[in-house]
Amino acid sequence: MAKSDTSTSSFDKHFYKWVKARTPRQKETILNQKRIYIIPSKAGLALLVLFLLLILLGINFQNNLVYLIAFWLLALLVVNILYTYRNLSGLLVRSVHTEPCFAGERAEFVFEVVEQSGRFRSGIQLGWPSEDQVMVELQPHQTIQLRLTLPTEYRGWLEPERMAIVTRYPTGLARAWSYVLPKIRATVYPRPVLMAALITSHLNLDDEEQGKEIPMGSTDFSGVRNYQPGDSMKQIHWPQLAKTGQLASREFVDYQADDHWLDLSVLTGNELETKLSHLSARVLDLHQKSVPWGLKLFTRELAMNQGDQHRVRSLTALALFGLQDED
Amino acid sequence: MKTEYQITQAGLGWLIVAQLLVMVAFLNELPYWLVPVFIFSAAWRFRIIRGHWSSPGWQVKGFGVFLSISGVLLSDINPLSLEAATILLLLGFSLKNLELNHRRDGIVVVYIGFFLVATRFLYSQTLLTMGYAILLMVVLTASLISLHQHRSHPWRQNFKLSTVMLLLCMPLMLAGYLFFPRLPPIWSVPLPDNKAVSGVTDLMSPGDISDIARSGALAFRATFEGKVPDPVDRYWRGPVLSQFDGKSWSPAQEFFQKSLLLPDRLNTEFSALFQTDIDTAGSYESYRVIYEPNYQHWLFSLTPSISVNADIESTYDYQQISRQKVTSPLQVSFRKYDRENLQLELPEWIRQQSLQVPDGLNPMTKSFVEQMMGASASETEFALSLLNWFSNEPYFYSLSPGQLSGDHQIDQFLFDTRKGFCAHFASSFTQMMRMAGLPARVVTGYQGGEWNEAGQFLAVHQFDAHAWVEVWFEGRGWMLLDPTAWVAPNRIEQSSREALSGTEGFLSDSLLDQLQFTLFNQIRMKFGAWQHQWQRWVLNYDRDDQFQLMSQLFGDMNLSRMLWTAGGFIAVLGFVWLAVLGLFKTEDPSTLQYRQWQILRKKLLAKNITIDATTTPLMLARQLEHRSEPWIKPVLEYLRLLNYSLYGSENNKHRLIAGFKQVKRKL
Repeated sequence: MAKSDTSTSSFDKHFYKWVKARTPRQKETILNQKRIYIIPSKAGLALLVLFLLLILLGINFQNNLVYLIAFWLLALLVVNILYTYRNLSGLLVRSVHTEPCFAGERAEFVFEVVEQSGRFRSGIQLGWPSEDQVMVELQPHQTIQLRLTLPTEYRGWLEPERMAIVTRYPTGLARAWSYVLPKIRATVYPRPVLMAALITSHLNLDDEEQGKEIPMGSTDFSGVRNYQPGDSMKQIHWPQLAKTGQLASREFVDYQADDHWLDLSVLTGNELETKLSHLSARVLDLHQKSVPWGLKLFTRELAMNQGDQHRVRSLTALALFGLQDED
Repeated sequence: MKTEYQITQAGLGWLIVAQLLVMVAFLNELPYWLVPVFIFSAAWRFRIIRGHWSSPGWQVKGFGVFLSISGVLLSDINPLSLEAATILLLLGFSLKNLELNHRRDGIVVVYIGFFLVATRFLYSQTLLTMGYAILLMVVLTASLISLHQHRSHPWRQNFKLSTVMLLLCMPLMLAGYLFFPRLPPIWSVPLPDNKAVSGVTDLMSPGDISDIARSGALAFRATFEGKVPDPVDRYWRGPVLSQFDGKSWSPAQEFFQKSLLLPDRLNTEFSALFQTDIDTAGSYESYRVIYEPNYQHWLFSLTPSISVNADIESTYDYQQISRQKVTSPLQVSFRKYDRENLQLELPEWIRQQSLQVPDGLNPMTKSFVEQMMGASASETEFALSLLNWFSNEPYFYSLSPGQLSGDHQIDQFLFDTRKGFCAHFASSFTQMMRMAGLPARVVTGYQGGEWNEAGQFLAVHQFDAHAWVEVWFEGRGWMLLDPTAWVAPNRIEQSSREALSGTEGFLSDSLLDQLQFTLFNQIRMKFGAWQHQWQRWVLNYDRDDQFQLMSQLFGDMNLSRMLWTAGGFIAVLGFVWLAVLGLFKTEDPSTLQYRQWQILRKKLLAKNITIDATTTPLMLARQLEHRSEPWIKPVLEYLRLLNYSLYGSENNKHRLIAGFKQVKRKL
């Protein structure tokens, strides 16, 4: 398998530097002799050893036919290189589409591989070394779609690293490969995490904007009423009981907001990413409850709205907040 | 990332077929106890493929290995010999079946297979072996291909791919084969054990019955630059036997092993053995012989001959000895000189050797010889009268004369059984000559041969094995006398096949007695001719030939010029070959469509319909739809096909071509 960039040997360093210069980020990449690399595989080297053994055998037994077989195998090694090369050459790899995801999930990339030379291709492995890889086979003029995923860690854009396209077809004596740097990026939303500390502060500050009261809630104190069986001990209004000997219960209300402003600037705490994560969770929550929301990210503001598109826009805004490349 | 690739069902199928075919190639060469091992492991693998069994545990594998190694040790094979190595390879090859799980195991099997194919040539190098080896190469390569597919492909597809790839290898293979320097052996190696059927040995015991004559195997082929010798002159001299103990004849000197390997043997006590008195100033006829392996040092030649090859020695008794045992087909060129006056001066030690008679044996013969000698005026007359006696008295030529027992075997043969083959007649005649004081010796070899018109060569078979007598006469030297010819003249004048086809015991267990059928005989002759060419040009391609080829191709040669031209030749060949490879690719449907489209454009232009570069077939079809000329219909039909083949999933070349033909006819 292809070695990763982290390899330390100086040859690798130089090789990958060289590769990098030859592998621009492209929407469509046609594999040609500029970007196809080919070397004998381990099996090919083993065949070379076998060739030497056979030559020794031929020399020692003075047997012409042993030479014949030996040179046949050597020729096979060479002919095979052309076959392996032709298996990759002329293929077109196109980046088509991505699906956004939340940080921590896997981002999905959709690629198309197009056979356009009228040749049958087999045994082509495509993907990221140590991540998703698939084996494909193409009939002449066939186009196939591949869905490959990459893990995500942070919000923002995810640009996939170099993909390797590897083949050992037909005999495995050579390994041909090519690199494709797809010009495509997936949006990674902040990981949705509600922060309890942020909820309280948020409510205290936004008191006047809380909208319609929902009785029998648990958030705000609204008054005292007579005790009813089933009220919890926590609700009992102890001062009243001491004064009057009558059981009374405290009443609380919740607030059902008609609309909600999610404002990054009013959130307390130092961690920007945590706040964005919180807002991400709030968006999901509000969206699920079909409550309209607006989003204020300092200079950027999304008007009060709801629905799928608004959700995507809000999450994207959160994902790209503070990154240069905002659209 | 380390991935263990699994082998597909088709891959397993290919491997098992390849293994069986390779093992079949060795069936005749190696001990039969290998067969059950093959069958066992192949059957186990087959059960695994079918999903009935799983891979065996280490106990079973260990047991298999244990049994195999014991088999090798018990079967009386030198553990350091080639055979032992081959057996071990074959065992590994078949036992690998028990643990064939990953791609790497499969690759190991295929590589051992390649090696075994080459090893097979150490046993025989006939055209048939080569043909079978080609099949094996194709199957092994196809197996290798199937190992690298992640799903099963139809076997035809892999077979075709493998065949095409191997064919493309030919130019490169030939270049390597022709120009790779032929080096002398690096170290001496044990050769395959002698399994050849040989009609001639250097120990002749007429008393024991022989089935020599029954073998129809080829001994050698000879081609002649001049006149082909008459049947009566086709005596191919092999070991000369001078030592008789009453039962068996053997060579006078056990010198081969001792002396042949000495680098300066010509300065040792053996020097006399390698001196001939042949007059090389005289005129000669050139001929060339390709010997089948007989795993011996001796060669067969017309008397007297001298070889041009450096590795061949001529001896004092006109034998031709190869310094290496003949283990693969060997080609030697000879010059045959005049047969007159061989060794007119007979050295004393040769005379002593040629007069040796075992003491006190065969008294009846002895008194008979004395009686005949008394009645003859000269030595030659005596010899002639003995030969006449053989011819007039009731002696019979038979290949199954029955065994002779007792001490006085010559007496017994001459005066009692009177039935025998060449060895009996040669043995008793030589003894009689010696008893009369004439130096004589038995010469073994082949007599006759079958002329192959198609290949212009003489094929000598094992059933042509013969023994005759040489007698030394004062003033005339060594003369060839063949008592068998006087008893059974047919044996000499015709080939032994014709002469003996009625004789009891001759070839009765061989297919060869049906060879009178002309058609079959022609095929046999033709095949023999191919074999001969094969041996001449492929098996015996050596340093000399290489050099000759180079000088024929490029004129005068020195080493550096040779290397340069060889390098240049390989480069040119490689270039041409690459060009061919590029052209060799399968017909590209897109270019086919493009070509057709261009032709269609021109044809329509002639009808004042212009198609610009961005028009697609479908657009053109819409443009033509409402016209009503008679050619419109096939054109529309073709455009539909073209559209499908360009943009749809259907890509039927044949329909496209057929449709286009219609269009061309109508336009």
